[in-house]
Amino acid sequence: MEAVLNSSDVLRTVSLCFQCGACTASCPLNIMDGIKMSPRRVLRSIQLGLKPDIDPFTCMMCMACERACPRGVKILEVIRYFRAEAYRENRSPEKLVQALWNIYEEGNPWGYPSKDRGKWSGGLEIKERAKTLLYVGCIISYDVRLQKIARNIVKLLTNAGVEVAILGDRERCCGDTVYNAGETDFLEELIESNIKEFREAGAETVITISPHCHNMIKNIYPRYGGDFEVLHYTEYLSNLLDADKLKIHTGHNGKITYHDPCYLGRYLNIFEEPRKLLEHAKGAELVEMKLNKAVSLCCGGGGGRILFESKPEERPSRIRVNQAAETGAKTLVTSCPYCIINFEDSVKMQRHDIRVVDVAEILTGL
Amino acid sequence: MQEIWVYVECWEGGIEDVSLEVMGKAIGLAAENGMKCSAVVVGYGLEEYVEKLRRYELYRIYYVVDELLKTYDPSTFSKSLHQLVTAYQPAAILFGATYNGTDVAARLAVRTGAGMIAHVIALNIEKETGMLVGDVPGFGGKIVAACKCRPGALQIATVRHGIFNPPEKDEVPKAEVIHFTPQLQKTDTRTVLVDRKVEPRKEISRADRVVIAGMGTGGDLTPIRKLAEKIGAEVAVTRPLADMGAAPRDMQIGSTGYSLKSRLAIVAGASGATHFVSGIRDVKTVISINTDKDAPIFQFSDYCVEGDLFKIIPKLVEKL
Amino acid sequence: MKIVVCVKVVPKIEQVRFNPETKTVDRSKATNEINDADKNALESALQIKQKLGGEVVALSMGPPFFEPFLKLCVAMGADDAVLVSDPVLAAADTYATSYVLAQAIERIGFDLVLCGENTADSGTGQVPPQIAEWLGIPNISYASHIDAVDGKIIAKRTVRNGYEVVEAKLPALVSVELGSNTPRFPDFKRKRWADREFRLKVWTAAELGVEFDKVGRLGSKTDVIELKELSTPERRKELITGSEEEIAARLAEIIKAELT
Repeated sequence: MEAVLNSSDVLRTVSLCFQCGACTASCPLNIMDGIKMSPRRVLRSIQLGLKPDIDPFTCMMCMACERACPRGVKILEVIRYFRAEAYRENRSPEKLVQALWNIYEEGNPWGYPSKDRGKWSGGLEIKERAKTLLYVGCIISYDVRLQKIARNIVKLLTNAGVEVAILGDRERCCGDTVYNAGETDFLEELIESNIKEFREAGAETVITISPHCHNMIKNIYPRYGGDFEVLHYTEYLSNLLDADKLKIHTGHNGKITYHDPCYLGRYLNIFEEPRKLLEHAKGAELVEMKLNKAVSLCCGGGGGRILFESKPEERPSRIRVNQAAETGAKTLVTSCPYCIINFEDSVKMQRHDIRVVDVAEILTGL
Repeated sequence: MQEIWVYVECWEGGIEDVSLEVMGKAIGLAAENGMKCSAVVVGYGLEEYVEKLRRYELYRIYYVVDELLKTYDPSTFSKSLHQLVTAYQPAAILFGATYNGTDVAARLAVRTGAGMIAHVIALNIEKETGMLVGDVPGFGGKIVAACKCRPGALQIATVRHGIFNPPEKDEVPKAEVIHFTPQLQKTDTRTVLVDRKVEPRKEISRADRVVIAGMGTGGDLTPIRKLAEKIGAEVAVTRPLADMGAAPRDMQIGSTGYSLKSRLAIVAGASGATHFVSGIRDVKTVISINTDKDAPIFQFSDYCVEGDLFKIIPKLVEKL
Repeated sequence: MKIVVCVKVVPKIEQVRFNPETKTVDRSKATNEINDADKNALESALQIKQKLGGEVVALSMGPPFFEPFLKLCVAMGADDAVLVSDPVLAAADTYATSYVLAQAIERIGFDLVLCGENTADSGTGQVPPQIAEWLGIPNISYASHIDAVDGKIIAKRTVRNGYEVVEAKLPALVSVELGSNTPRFPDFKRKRWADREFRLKVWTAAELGVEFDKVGRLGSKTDVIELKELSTPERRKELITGSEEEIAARLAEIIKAELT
């Protein structure tokens, strides 16, 4: 029987599958209008030596399937394999290829000028060198709405007496989009160059804001020599809280609900730290949505999908904001910039009376 | 007396608007500078158009006619024009900056060693030298270069559409028609037209008033359409709505869609991303409605409303 | 099938500033990139090469800093690259530029020449048809799709309100519509080789054998007399407040005034 795949690692993981279908049942693409993605069928095709019928780019890489799998099949590795194959054969989606060009030319997938990357920090006193480096990320650096999050995090850290540095316009994309495109040669250069910048800034600890960046720097950068202590800002702030150093200035009134971003929750098992921080926000009553923590429903922005325009009916964020509304909360809090973009969009389109904010914004007062 | 020629492009839908606009300017320039203005038509079976042109304040209409010119081909068209230019020695020849016009003009420029000024947005004749000076936009339209051809050769300029006005028509046709038979062989035709599909329809870029729907409408264009109908406006959308399939691409405004030169644009539910804003830059009056008071669109609008389009637009339609 | 692709390096136009004192274009803070439409042309060439075999050569006329960009074209898949570089060629208008490029193309040898429809900086779109005229070959402009078959090129070109399908016998020149395809991202392994080992051909004016009175400032047929900035209209940014009724009434007033 001829193997469809070249990679023995992928074949090994596929051979674990015993076709229970838990993956397909948990996939967020399938809760809307019928089954759009069947990982079970894909794995079966490969086991039978057939070419699977899959568009690997519809996957949001949310990891719900892997968490549901009783055998520990690395389904995302399989998806990434087919993405790499599509890339080699020049079949990648146009938006992803444009994003690669933009990252190469301007250091971010959207093609904003690299020289403007540090502008968000105007007026804030931040160093260029320190043992603790705040890695901001592309979308937060450039998006006017999301820049507030970075500014709030800097304020929280500075008020806690932390000496933190940022790279400003020397910061370049973490490489998440490149990794998801299945490209490896440019990725290597990008990561090595970033590691060099972090070292030159004197960094021993890197604090991340986007869970996507966090996943890259914590899990992928070590393969290229990255040896930093990597913490998501919710972890770092939670540590400060434990040491009684964090000043949470204003409370928030009313019910709030927290959404676990896929890349923070399922990928990195960071569930409790954000909740601990929110519980200390005076006057805020934290209620949980259905499908929380490890079974949280993806907003639809992972796997590079934030770059694509999708039809409104196909966005799981639509369902997620409904779930938020059902809790009676007027504030939906999360800790991922892509989730914020998607939820703000869905809230607008479904006309819910819900504010979408980041954990940092709750802690500094809106 | 020196002649300024205007190359008049014809297609299934008639005479190209831009050719008439250029003619309007050229007739004026000729009159102000003691020159004559003539039109040039290249093709076959275009007698009807030539007759129409006689009603304008033109000295002559040169009709370059041959069966080999029935279908457009940059090589035969530029070769024939070259022969006409050699025979009649105009001072300058102006083209509308259309795809075909640019091709023909460019090839003619190399043939005749002429200077060629591209897609001008202003055109004058320098009093001291009698030479054309054209304003050429560059760098995305941010910077304009005033350009001049070198003396001692033909001057060629292509003109952007929507800049000048077509000329007045006369009651009585006056211009003299000169039929010119070019020396062409079959082998001069270097391209073969295999298929052509053209549907004359209203172009959004030429609309006088437009109502634009953004993502805030959620893809529901009903209030937008109602408002547009009330004021006789065209409906347009931002890129995400076209991506979503809420409207076809040819209704899209922005850097990857159309740029508007309208008198009035009402923008509802669009946040004002840079690529969209470039499409409304030349609109005279922009009114925006958005629920987000920090939406960038308000920086690019004349009148800003922080509110819900679904509530405000129906009330607005009532009051109009 | 030998395809020559003409490529220009341009500054990112949003990053270009106008210096009102010196009245010149300030590109010093702008990132340089391969002109987007030329990337589309190169992608078309690579697709044709994939289908029919042959060679793709990237060609540019410009200063030495164009070199890494030509190597990027090689990283994308071009087999060879030529830079025609000489101070005497500078400040050329489209006439002089197209003349030099045509001489280089003839020296390289070709079946097909592909260009981007125009360049982002000057955007005249004149150079491709002018190169074709110098070379005495047919040109097809604004092609959204190209196919090469049997010594012929078949191009679908965008025209106002529709499209045309046009054929021409090779050798021919086609200018490619901006955005008509997705230029492939460079192969970074190949890029490493291109950066370290590949040597592109650099020709001076003398080596190319051009007539000096046809190139650069001397050979141009047009001159720029003055540069000005086109200012974008200042928007009023007037906030309209009040109840929904009041807002609607005020808007109706404004609209009526504007449309009469």
